[in-house]
Amino acid sequence: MAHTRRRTRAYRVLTVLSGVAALEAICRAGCVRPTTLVAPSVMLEAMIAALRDPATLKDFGLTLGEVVIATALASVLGILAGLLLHAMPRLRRAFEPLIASYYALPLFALYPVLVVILGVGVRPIIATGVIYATMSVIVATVAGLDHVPHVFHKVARVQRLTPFKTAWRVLIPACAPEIFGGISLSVGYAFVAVIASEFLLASHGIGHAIVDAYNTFQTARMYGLVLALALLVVLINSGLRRFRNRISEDGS
Amino acid sequence: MMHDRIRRMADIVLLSCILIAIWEALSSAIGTRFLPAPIQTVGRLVAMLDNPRFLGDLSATSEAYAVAFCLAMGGGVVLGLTLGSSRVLGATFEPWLHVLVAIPKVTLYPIILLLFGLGDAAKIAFGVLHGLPTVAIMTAGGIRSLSPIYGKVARAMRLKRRSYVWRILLPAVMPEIVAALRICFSLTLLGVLVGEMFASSRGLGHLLMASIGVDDMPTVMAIILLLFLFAGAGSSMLLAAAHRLKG
Amino acid sequence: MRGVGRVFLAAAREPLWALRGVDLDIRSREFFAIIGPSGCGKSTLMDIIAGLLAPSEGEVIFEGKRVSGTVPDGIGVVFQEDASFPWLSVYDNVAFGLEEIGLERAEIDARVRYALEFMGLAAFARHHPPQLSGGMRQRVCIARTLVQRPRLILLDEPFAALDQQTRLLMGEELLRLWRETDATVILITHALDEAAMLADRVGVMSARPGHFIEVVATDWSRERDSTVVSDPRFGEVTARLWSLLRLESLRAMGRDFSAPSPP
Repeated sequence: MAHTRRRTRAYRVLTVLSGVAALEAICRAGCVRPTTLVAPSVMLEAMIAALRDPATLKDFGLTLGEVVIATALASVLGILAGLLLHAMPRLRRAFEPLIASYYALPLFALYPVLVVILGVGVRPIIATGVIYATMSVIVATVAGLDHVPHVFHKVARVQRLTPFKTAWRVLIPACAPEIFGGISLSVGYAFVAVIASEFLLASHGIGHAIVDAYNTFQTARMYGLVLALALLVVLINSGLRRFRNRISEDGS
Repeated sequence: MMHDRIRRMADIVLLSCILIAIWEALSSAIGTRFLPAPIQTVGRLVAMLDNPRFLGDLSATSEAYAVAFCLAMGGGVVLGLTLGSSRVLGATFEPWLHVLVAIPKVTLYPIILLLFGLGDAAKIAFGVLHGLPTVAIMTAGGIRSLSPIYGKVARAMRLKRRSYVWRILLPAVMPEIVAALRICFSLTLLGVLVGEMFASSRGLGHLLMASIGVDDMPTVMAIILLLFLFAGAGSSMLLAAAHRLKG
Repeated sequence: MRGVGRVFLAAAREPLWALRGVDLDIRSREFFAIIGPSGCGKSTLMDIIAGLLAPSEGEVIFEGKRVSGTVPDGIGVVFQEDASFPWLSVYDNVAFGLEEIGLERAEIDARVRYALEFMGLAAFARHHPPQLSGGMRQRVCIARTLVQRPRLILLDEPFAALDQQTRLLMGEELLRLWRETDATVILITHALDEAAMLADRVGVMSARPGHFIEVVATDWSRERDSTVVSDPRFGEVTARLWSLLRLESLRAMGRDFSAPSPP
C-alpha cells in the first residue's frame, strides 16, 4: 500500500517535471513567441518579482479579504436557508429548478445593480461573492440534514428542545462535516465570483492586476500573477481538505 | 402521483410569484433606472427577440455553446474512462484535474486568448475548460466505485476489451455520466458566456458587457432572465431524465 | 409524587391499523416488558406512550395527565438505534439534557459523575462515542436518560444491536438501575428470554393490527438477577410466552397456523 503510494507520487512528480522541462525547452528554443507563452523559469521569476511589489501584495490581500468576508456571510446565510428549506419540503421541491440552474448564470452581470445599492468599492464585489457562495452551503446543509439519523430528532423531542435549540445543539453539529464540505466548496465559488468581478468590472484586486498585465502586454508578469493565484488557491484547498479529513475522522 | 405533480407545479408557480414580487419591490425601492421591474424586463426581452442583431448574438452563443458542450462531455467521458481504468494514470493526472477545477478559471482566460487568439476558438476552449475536468473526475470516480466483480465477470466470459467498455463499463457508470451531464451543462454555459464577456465582439456575453457599459439595465436583466429560463428548463429536463434512468 | 403510570389506549394510524384496542394498565415501580411478532406495532406503541406520536384514537394517561404529541416531564426514552452524539464527549452527551433545564454546574457535574459511575463509564468520560463499542454507546444513551431522573423509563429494543453476552450483562444492569431509581420501566423487546428474565409482567402483542392477547406475570422477587434463568419457573414462563407468540408470528408471516405449510 505504502509502496504503491510512493510509486504514484514518484510518477506524479516525474510527469510534472518532464512537463515543465518540455515547456522550458520549447520556449528557450524559440518555438513560441514570448508574448504568447513564457518559460516556466521566467514565470517563477516574474512571480517572485510581483510578490516583492507592495502594491501587488496589497491587491492579493484585498482579494483574499473579500473572499473571506464573502464566505463567512455565505456560510451563515446558507445554513439558515438550508435549515428553512429542509423544514419546508414543499418549498424545497419548488426551489429545485432554481438550484439546478443557479451556477449557469453569469450573476456578476448584476454588478451595476449592486454598485447602486452598495456603492463603489469592495462591497459590491463581496456581494457577488456571497451570491455565488451561498448556494453550495445551502445544498450541502440540506443534504446533510437529510442524513441526520431520525433518532436524533426523537432525542431532541424527548429532551423537549425548542426548534431553535434543536437546530443549534443537535442538527447543525450532526451535519457539521457536510456543512463544512459545502463551505470549502463555497470558498472556491467566492474566489470565482470575486476574481471574475474584479477581472471584468472593478479597478482593484488581483483579478484586475492580471487583466492590467494582459492589456499592457506584460506577458511574463501576467503568467507570474496567475501562477501565484493558482498556488494560493491550491494551498487553501489542501488546507481545507486536511482539516475536513480531521473532523470527519473524529466524527465517525 | 398525478395529484402530486399538479401540487408541485402549483408550488413552483407560487414561489415564482413570490420571487417576482420581491424583484418588483426591490426595483421600486432602488429605482427602475438601476433595477428594471419584471414587466419592463419581459417587455425588453420580447422586443429583443425581434431584433436581428440580438438574434445574431444569440445564435453565435448557441453555436459556440453547442460545440463546447459536446467537446467537454465527450472529452470528459473519454478522459474519465481512461483515468478511471488505470490506477497509475488516475493517481498521476487526477490531482491536476482537481487543481483545474479549484482555481478561478477566469484568470486563465488571458492565457487561452494568447494560445487560441481572439475569436470563437478561445471562448469554446474556455467553455470546455470549465466543463471537462468535472466530467472526467466524476466519470473516473464512478468507475473506481464499481464493484470489482464486473471485471471478474468480464474475464470469466472472456469479453474483448472493447465490448467490456461498451457493454459493461459505460452502462454501469451511466448514472454518474448523467449527473456529470447536468453539471457540465451549467459550467460550460457559464464558461462560454464569461469568455464572451471578456474580449469578444459578438454573442450574449459581449452584449451583456456592452449593455453594462452604457448602463442599459433592461437589456442586462432581459439577458439574465433569458439565460435563467434556458438553464432552468435544460437542468429540469436533465433532472427528469436522470430520475427516469434511475427507474 | 410518584404517580401511577396508567396507560390505556386504542391507537390507529391510517390506512393500516398499526394498533387497535390496546388496553393496558402499568403499575408504578413495575418492570413491564412488551413482546410481539415483528411489525406488530411495538415501536409505534412506544412512540405513543412517550408522546412522540399522537394516537388517532384513545388516550394515554401518565400521572393523571393526558399524553399527546409532546413528551411529558418525567418520561425518559432509550431508543433502539445508537442515539449518542458523535460530536460530544461521553461526559457532554450525558450532561446534554441537564444543561437544557438550567441546573447549576455543580449539580450537573454530580449527577453526570454518578450516572457515569453507575453505568461503568467513568473511565471513558473524555472519550467520544465513535471510539466506543456498540454496547458502551448504548450505556451512554441510558446514562443520558438516567441523569434526568425519569419516573417512567421507556426502552425500545435497546439491546437489539448487541451480541448475546453483552445483552445478558446489560439486562442485569437494567435490573439494578430499575431497583435503585425506583422508576417504572417499560421494555420493548423481541427476545423471549430477555422479557422472561427481566420483567414483572410481560405483555404479548398480536400480529398487526397489534393488541395485547395476554399479560403473563413472572412473580420474580425484586432482588433478582440473570440467574433466574436456572429457576424452573423461567422455563414455564418462556414456554408460555412462546406458545402465545408462535401462532402470532406465523400469522404475521402470512401463514395459516392450522395447516402445516408445504416444504
